Amino acid sequence: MSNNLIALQNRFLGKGETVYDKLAVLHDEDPAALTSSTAIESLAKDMNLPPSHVHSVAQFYDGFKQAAPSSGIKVCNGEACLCQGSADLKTRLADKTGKDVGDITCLGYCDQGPAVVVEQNHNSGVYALHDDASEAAVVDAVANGELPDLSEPENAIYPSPDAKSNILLRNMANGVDDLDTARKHGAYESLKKALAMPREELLQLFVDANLRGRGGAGFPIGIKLKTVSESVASSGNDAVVVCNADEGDAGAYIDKVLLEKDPHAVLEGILLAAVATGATQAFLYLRGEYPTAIQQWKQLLVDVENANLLGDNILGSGYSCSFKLVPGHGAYVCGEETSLLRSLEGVAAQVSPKPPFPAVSGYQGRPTAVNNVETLANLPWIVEHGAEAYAALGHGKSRGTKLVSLNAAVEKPGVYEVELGTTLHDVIERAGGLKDGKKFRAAQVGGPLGGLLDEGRLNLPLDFEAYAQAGVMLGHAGVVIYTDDVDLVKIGRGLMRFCAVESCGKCFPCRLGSVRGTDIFDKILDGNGTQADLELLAELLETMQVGSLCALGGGIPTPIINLLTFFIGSFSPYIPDARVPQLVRDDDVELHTVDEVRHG
Amino acid sequence: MADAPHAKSSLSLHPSVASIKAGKQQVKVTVDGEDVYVDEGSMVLDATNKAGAYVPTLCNSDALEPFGACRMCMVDVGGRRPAAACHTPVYEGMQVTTSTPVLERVRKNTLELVISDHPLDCLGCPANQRCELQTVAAKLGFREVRYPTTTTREGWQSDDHPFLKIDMQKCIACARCVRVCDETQGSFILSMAGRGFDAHVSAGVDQEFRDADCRSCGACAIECPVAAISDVGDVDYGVAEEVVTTTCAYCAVGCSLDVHVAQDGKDNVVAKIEPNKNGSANRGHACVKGRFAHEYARHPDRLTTPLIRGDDGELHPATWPEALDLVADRLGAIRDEHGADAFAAISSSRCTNEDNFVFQKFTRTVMNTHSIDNCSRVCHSPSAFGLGKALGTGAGTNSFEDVEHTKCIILIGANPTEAHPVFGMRIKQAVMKGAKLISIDPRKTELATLADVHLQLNPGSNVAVVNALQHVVLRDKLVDDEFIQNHTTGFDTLWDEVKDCTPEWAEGISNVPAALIEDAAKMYATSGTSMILWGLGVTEGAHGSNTVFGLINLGLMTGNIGRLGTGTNPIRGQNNVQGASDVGALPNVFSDYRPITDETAQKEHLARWGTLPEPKAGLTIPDMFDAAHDGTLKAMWIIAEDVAQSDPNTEHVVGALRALDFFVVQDIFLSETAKLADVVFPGATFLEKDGTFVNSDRRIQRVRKALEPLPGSMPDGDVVQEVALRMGHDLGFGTPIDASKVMDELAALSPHWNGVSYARLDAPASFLQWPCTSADHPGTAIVHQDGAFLSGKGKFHPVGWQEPGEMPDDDFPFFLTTGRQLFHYNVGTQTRRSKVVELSPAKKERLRIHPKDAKRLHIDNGEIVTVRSRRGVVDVEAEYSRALRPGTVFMTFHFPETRTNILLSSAADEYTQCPEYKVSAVAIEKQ
Repeated sequence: MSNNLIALQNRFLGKGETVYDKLAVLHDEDPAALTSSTAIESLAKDMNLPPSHVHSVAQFYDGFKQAAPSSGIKVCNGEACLCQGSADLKTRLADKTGKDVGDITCLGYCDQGPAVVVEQNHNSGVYALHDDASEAAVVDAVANGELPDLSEPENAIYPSPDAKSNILLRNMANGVDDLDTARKHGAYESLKKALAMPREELLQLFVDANLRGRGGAGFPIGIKLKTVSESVASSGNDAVVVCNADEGDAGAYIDKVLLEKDPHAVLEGILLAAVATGATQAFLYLRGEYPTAIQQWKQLLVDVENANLLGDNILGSGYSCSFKLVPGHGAYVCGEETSLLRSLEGVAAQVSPKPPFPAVSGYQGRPTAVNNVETLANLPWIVEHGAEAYAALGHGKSRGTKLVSLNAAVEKPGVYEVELGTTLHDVIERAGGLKDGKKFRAAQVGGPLGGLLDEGRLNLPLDFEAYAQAGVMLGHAGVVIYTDDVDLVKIGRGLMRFCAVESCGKCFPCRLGSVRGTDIFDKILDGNGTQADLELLAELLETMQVGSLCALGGGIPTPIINLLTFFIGSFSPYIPDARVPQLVRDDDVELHTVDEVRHG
Repeated sequence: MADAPHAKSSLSLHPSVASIKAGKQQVKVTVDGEDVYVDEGSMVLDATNKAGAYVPTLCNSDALEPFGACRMCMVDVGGRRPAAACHTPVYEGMQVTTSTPVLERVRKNTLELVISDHPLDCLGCPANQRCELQTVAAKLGFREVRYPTTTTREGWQSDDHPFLKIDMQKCIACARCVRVCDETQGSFILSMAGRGFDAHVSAGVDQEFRDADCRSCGACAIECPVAAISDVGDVDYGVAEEVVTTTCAYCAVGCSLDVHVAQDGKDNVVAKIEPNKNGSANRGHACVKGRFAHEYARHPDRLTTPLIRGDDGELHPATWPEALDLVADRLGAIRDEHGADAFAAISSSRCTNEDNFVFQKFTRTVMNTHSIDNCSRVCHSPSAFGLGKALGTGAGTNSFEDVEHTKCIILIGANPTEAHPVFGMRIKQAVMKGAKLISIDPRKTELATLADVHLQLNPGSNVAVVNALQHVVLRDKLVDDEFIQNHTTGFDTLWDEVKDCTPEWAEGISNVPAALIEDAAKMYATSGTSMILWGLGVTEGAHGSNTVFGLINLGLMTGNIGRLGTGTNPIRGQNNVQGASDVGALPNVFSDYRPITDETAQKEHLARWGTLPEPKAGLTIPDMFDAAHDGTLKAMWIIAEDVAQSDPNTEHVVGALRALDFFVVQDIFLSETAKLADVVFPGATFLEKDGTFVNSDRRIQRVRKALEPLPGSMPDGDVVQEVALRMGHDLGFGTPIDASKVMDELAALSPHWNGVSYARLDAPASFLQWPCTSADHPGTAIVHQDGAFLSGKGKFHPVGWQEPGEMPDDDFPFFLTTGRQLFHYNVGTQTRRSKVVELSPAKKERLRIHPKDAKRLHIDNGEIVTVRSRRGVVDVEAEYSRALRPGTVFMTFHFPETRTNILLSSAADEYTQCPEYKVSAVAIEKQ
C-alpha cells in the first residue's frame, strides 16, 4: 500500500530521499519540532507530499512523536536494567530533579546498568548510575542545564580463549575502531580479495561456510545472497544490502560492541555481501538508542569514503556501491526486516506480508539482502580463512561461533565469543557465576522473542535446533539472568506490555492480543486471576503465535509459554494451585518456534 | 466527416482483455479435497473462493492489494504452519485445508479480540445487516468476550461531513479506507497514524475530512467493513428496498452506479448511490458528484408543471395538454408560415441517446430541417472534426484502461482530477506506477504538479507548442518511418510547415522554456508506447481544430496510434456529449456521422422515416443565435441546456433568445434560459429515465429508471413524442416511448452501431464500445488497430500558428482562462442543489490570481475585485494561487451569481465555431 507514497517521495524529494530522513533532520535540529501538527502540515506542503503521510511517519516513531522529558533524562527500562533497580532510580531522579523523567528501552549497557541517557542543549550522553555519587552528578548537572561530568561506561568483551574460534572479538583490543589501525590489522584485505574473485565463487564460499543469520532467524546467509543474486538476474533491478543494526532486544548489546569496537569488520562484511550480490546500494540501519555508535559511524564513513572504500569505483575495482547510514528513532519493530525496509523507504514502518521475500522484492521493490550485524561481521574472516575453517566450528546445523551477552547478574558481565554448541551453563561459569552468591531463577535468552530457560535448559548446546526442540529460542543470544528475587509473573507482564507498546499495529492478533494479554496479567497481579485466566492466556498465546504477521506477535508467546510451563509455580502467589494450562500441556510445550514464525 | 469505409480488420477484442484470457497458466489447487484451477499468481483465497469454501476475511477487499492484517483467513497449506489465504500465492498441487481445530480456535479467538474493542450496539448501527464483522461473527459463532478489558479506544467521532458519518469507536483498524484512498483514489487523505493499539485512521493530521482537503469520493465508506465511516444514507434509510444499476449523468467518464432506492412516504427516494463494483469505466470507484450530488432529483425547485408565458409577460403554471397543444400549434404555424429554416433545436448532451435520437428525428421529420445541434459545439466539436478528418471517426481512438499500459502520456488542456475525477485519479495511479507524464497546461494542476515535464504555456499558444513538439520529433528523426510510409498520407508537406517552429520560437510565444519542449518531444517520441489525452483547453479556442490536428500529427509520425497504450484521445466533457453527436443531434450528419448528403444514408433514412428535409446543412448553435438576431430564425426548442448561462458572450445569446417569436425550453429547473421561454416543459432526471449514454471512450451503457418521474414531470423523449402526435406525426417508438425500440432504429441506421441492442446491454454494468457492427461483434476498445484506419490511411494536417481571438494589451493586461472544479458541475444547476455546497471549497466563485500580480495591484487574498473585459464586468473574490503564472488569471463558471461567461471572448474555432472559452483578455481592478 505504500508503493504510491514511495513513488511520490522519489518524485518530489529525489530518488531514495524520504520523509523519514526529513523528519530526522528536523528532529535533530529541534527535538520538539515534530510534536506540532501545524509543523507537520507545513512540512508536507513544502515537500508537495500528503500531510497524512508525513503525519503517519511522525506518529510511528517514539523518537519523533514524544516530546523530550522536562529533565532531559531517560532511564532504561529493559529487563537487565530493571534487575539493577532502574525503576526505583527513575522515581528517585524524578523526585530529586522535580521534573519528568522518561523511559527508554535498552541503551546496550546491560552489563553495567542501570543506564540513563541525558540530553541537554542538543548534546547527549549515556551513563551507568551505580551509586549515589553518579546519581547526584546527573541531578546537579541537569539543574544547571549541563551534561554530568561522568565518563560513558564501556562494555566488557571476552574473546574466545581458543584461537580457532577467536573470530569476532579478535582485534578489538587493538583499537581497530580507527581506520588506519584497522587496516594495519588486515581490515579490507578480504574486500580486496573478493573484488578480484568471480562473484559465483564468493557466493559459493558463503554458502559453504554454512553461516546462519545471527539476528535470531538462523537463515543461511549464502542462500539468501544467492537468491538476491538470482532475483537481480530475473528482475533486472539492482540489488540492495541492508545491515540490520536495530538491536532492540533488551539484554543484547552484541551488535553494539561490534559496531563500536570493530566497525570496519562490520562495514567490510556489508561490502562483501554487496560485492557478492552486485548491490549498488547498501544501508546501515542503526538504532537511535546507540547515540555513541551513530556518532562514531558518521565520522567513520567520511574516512572510508576518503579512502575510496565506498562509493564510486571502490579501490579502483570498477565496482561502485553507495552507502547510507540511517539512524533509528525508537521503534523496536523496525528490527523486523520488512518493517525495517519500510523505514528505509521512509513510510510508516508497518510490517508487510511475505512473500514476496525481501531477497526477491525488498527496498523499493529491489532484491534486498537484510542481514544482522554479527552475521555480516563474520564475512571478512570467512573470506580470509576459507569456508572450511568456519564450517569446521560449531554444533549440528549451527556452524561457527556466537557472541553471547550477559547482564550484570554474573561476576564478569560482558560479551563472550563461544563456539556454537557450548552450553550457556559453561558461559556463565566462564563469567564467574552469579554475583553476590545469588541463586539462579531463569535466563531470558534472545530477548522478548526468545526463550525463558530454567536451570536444566542451561545445559542445552547453543544450537538453533537444539533450543527450538526444547521449546525455547536462541534468538540473538542476548542473555538476561534473573535471580530468585525476581517475580517472573511481572516479567511475563512486562513482555506482553512490551509487545503492546512496540507492535506496529497492523495485524489483529498482535495489536489486540498484546493489550488483552497485558489485561490478563494485570488481573492476575491484582490478585483477581483464576485458572480460567491462565487457560485463556494460553489460547491467546496460540492465536498470537499462529496468527501474527511477523515475529513480534509470533515470538512474544514463546517466553510466556516457557513461563507457563517451566515456571508455573511463579503464579501460585497469585493463583493458588495454578496449573499448566491445558492447551500448552496438550501441545507438549513445542507449540511453534520463532524460527518457524520468522520463516513461516 | 469522411464517409469512412468500414474496416473490419481494425476491430477486435481489446488486447489486454485478450491476453488475460489467453496468457495465464492455470494452477491446480486442492481445497478440502476438491480440485480447483486458478490463474497462476492467484492467492489461496481465490482458490478457496472458487471452491466455495468459507474462509472469513475482514481486511481483504477485491478492490485492494492483499494486506494481511486481520489474520482471519488463516488456512493450512500443508506446511508446518498455517498461512494467510489472502496473501499466500498458490502453487501447482497445493493442498489447502480450510478448517482444523487449531484454525477454528485461532479464528474465533481473533474475532473475540476484535469484538473486545468494538461496541456491541448492532441494532442501532448504520451497518446493521451489511456489517462484515457481524457476518463473520454469525458464521463463526461468537458467544462472549472472555477477556478482561481495561482498555478500549474512543476514537474520532464526527457528523461534520455532509455525506459521511465517522464513528471510529467502531473501527477495527483494517486500513481498507486508508488503502482505497491510496490505491484507488490516490488522494492520500487517510493514513494509519500511531503504532500498536493506538494505530488509528487519521484524516490529514488527525483532522476533520473538510480540513484535510478530502475529495469526498466516499470510497472509504464503501470499503469500511463496519460503520466506522458510513454513508449518511445508511444512517437515514438503512438497507434499501431496491438497487438499480445505471450510468452517471455528470461527466463523460461514464461511471456505473448502483442507486439504492428507499421508500419515503409515498415517494421513492435515493437512499444512497454507490459505484457499481463491476463498472467497466470506473471499476468500483466514483467521485463526489456521482456518489453524493443527487439530491437535486427531489429538490423543491424541480419543475412539476408546465409553464406558459401569459399576456402579462410572466410565466404561469399550465396543464400538460395546454402546454403541449400550444407548442404543437405554434411550431406547426411557424413552420408552415416561415418555412423549415425558421425553426432550430438544441438537443442535450445531458440526456440519453434515445432522447437525442427522438429529438433529431422530430426536427428532421416533423420540422423538416437539419437545424439541430448539441453542446459539443461549444466543447469538443474540434475533436470530432479533427479526428474525423484525419482518422475517419470523430471519437477517441483508445480506452481508459490504456493509461495503465502506456509508458508516456501527453495531457494537454485538461484537468481530469477535478473535471473527470475517476479517470483523473486513474491517470495519477498510472503515473505513480511509472508512466511518464507531460502536462501542457497554463495551470499547475494536480497532475501537472506530478508531471515529469510541465509545459506551462500562455493560454492561446497551444498550436505553437504542439508545432514545436513536431519540429523536434522531425528534426531529430524520432519518427516511425514504416508507419508513416504504410499507413499515412500528407507527411511530405509537414516539415515545411513546422521547420521554423523551433522550440525557441515557441518559447517566444508560449513562455515555455525551449529546453522543456525538447525534453517533452523526445520523451513522447521515444517511449515506444505513448498516448495523448486532451481536454477543453485544446478545443475551446480559436484554433482548437488546428491543435487537434497537430496532436494527431504527433501520434501519426511516431506510430503511436492503433496500439494498446497509445492513441489520440479527447476527454469528453458531458456525460453524453459523445452520444448526442453519435446519434445525429448535429446539423450536417445523421447518426453515426453519416453526412446528410450521403445518398445511401438518405435512402435508408427515407425508407424508415418516409420524409427528409432537403440535404442542406442546418444551423449550428452560434448560427442559430445570429439567425435569431437577424430575424430569420423564429422559433427554437432547447432541451436541458442553459445556453443563457453557459455560452460565452452571454448578452448576445440572451438577445437572440429574446428576439424569437416562440421559444420552448425543457428542463428540470427554471434555468436562466427557461426564464426566457414562452413554454417551459418540466423534464425528468437521469434517475427517472431508461436509455443509454455514450461515454468518452465510446462506451455505450444503460441508464435505468431508479425513481418514478417526479409527479408533473415527463421524460424528455416523451414530451417530444407528445408534441409530434399533436402535429400529426407518430415518431414510432410508442407512447410513452419504449427506449429499446429507439435503440433498435438507431442501431439499424448506424453501421458502427449495428450490433448494439438492449438485450446485449441488459446485464448490470455491461457495455459495448462502438464500432460494434454486428450482433456477435464484441465492440472496439482500440480503433484503427495496426494502421488500419477507418479512413483507410491516417492523414497529416500541417497547420500554422495564429494568435488567439484576443490577446492581453494595455487596457486588458491579463489572460483569463476558465475551467471546472471538483465539487461542481458546469453551471451548478445540479450540484448546487445538493449538500455538496457544504463542502468548503465549493461555496462561491473565486478569481485565482498569482500573488505577485495581486500584490502589484494591492489586492489582498480574499478581497473582492472587479474583473472587466471588452464585453462585461463581474465582481469576484480574489484568491492567491501559485498554480498560475503571473499574467494569467483563472475562474470557473459554476456560480450563476458570478457570471464568468459574460466576460468571455466571442472568438471561435475557425472550422467548428467552438467558442474560445479558454482565452480572454481582462483587466483586474481593486475596488
